[in-house]
Amino acid sequence: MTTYKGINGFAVQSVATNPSPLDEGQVWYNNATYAFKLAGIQVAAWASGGSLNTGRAGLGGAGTQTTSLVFGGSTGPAYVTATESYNGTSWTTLPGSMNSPRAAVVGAGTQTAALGFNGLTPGNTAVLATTESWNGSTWTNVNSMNTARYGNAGFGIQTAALAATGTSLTGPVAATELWNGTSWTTSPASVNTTRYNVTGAGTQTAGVIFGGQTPPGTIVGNIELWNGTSWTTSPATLNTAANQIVSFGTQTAAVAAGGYSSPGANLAVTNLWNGSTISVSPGSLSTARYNGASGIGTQNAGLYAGGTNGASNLATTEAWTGNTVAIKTITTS
Amino acid sequence: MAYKYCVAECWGTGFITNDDSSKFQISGFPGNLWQIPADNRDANLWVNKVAGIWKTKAEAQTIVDVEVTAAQAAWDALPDEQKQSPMNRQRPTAIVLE
Repeated sequence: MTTYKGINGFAVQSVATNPSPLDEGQVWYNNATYAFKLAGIQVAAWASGGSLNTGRAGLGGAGTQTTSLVFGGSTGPAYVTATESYNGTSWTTLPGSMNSPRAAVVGAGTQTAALGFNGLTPGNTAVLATTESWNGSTWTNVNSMNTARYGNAGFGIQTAALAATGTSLTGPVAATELWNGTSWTTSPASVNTTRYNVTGAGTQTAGVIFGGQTPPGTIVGNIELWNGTSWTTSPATLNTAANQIVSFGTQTAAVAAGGYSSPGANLAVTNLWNGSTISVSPGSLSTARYNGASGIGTQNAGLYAGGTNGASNLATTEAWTGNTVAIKTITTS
Repeated sequence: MAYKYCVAECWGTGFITNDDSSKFQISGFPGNLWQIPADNRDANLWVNKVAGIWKTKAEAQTIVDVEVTAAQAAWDALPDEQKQSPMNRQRPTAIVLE
């Protein structure tokens, strides 16, 4: 008869505490809980996170899945300044609000050192070039961008961020701008496909942008890569062209989730980007949505905060966990 | 695929867990309405966990219609400059439940 020892060369160990780190397929007996245990794959999936105190879309985001920050955005007709922090379970509205209410604001950085830039003023009467810097307790106005815009991609950290493409009230913006912690510089390199309602992930020297729409409103699935000096169009595209996607991660390991593909067609899809190809995860958002906060987390642990389902702006959040090795109890019947 | 519907208010963390969503698809709609696969034991257990109130498909469709109609009226009342902004959400469209 085939035995575990015969296959693996050693017997199932009896231990009082579960081993760490885990190896996929590892089996042991926990003699404290009297149970056989298996290190099995927990399939990638979304789970409910804590709800925002102020439901909104077009908000900025920064940080990780369990130490996050969101700011600004639209509750509907109203554009807000509210800042909220997340501890992995619940959101707290912070006393430090942004100086300017704005929607379509883009974020970069961490929960305690973030940057918020671009956006629209209430009533959509003006497009913002202003930049605000967050030190963990207050927002300070710092040097403005060279080109006011909204619907652009943005990512990086508080001292090294990037803004790419977007639009003004009168027409699209192609320019890429780089933030060095003090001021913005316009790069000589522009994206290959000028677009707005685009999203991105990565750093100032290694980034990626997904989807968006080209004037006057064609929704695209194009993906472009930034190497610090120039943009290259990837041969890969999103399986479903979409705008207002939420993304997080790096140039070579990112998630691009949700989005808007056509009237009434809000997406729940989770796209996984590995640097060269897109695959669609079987794990979908529970609420199809778009225009949430990008830039929170990694490909293995991210957060989708806020956004809209088309009927209302959302307070709910969803937490993404990639494939992980988890402890499972072996049961017999 | 056949679906069932319930109404439940999302309380946040723990409402839908990774384990829940890796076992079956949960789809949320306006009005705190949730769609789950019919004849699925795990889905039924989840509805019990969240104290969901079962709705027939017709009742569920009415809930969604009321929410969408209200959202359309709110959108119609917006000033033109807000409707024309590409960043603003589009006029809500009808949702037909499967």
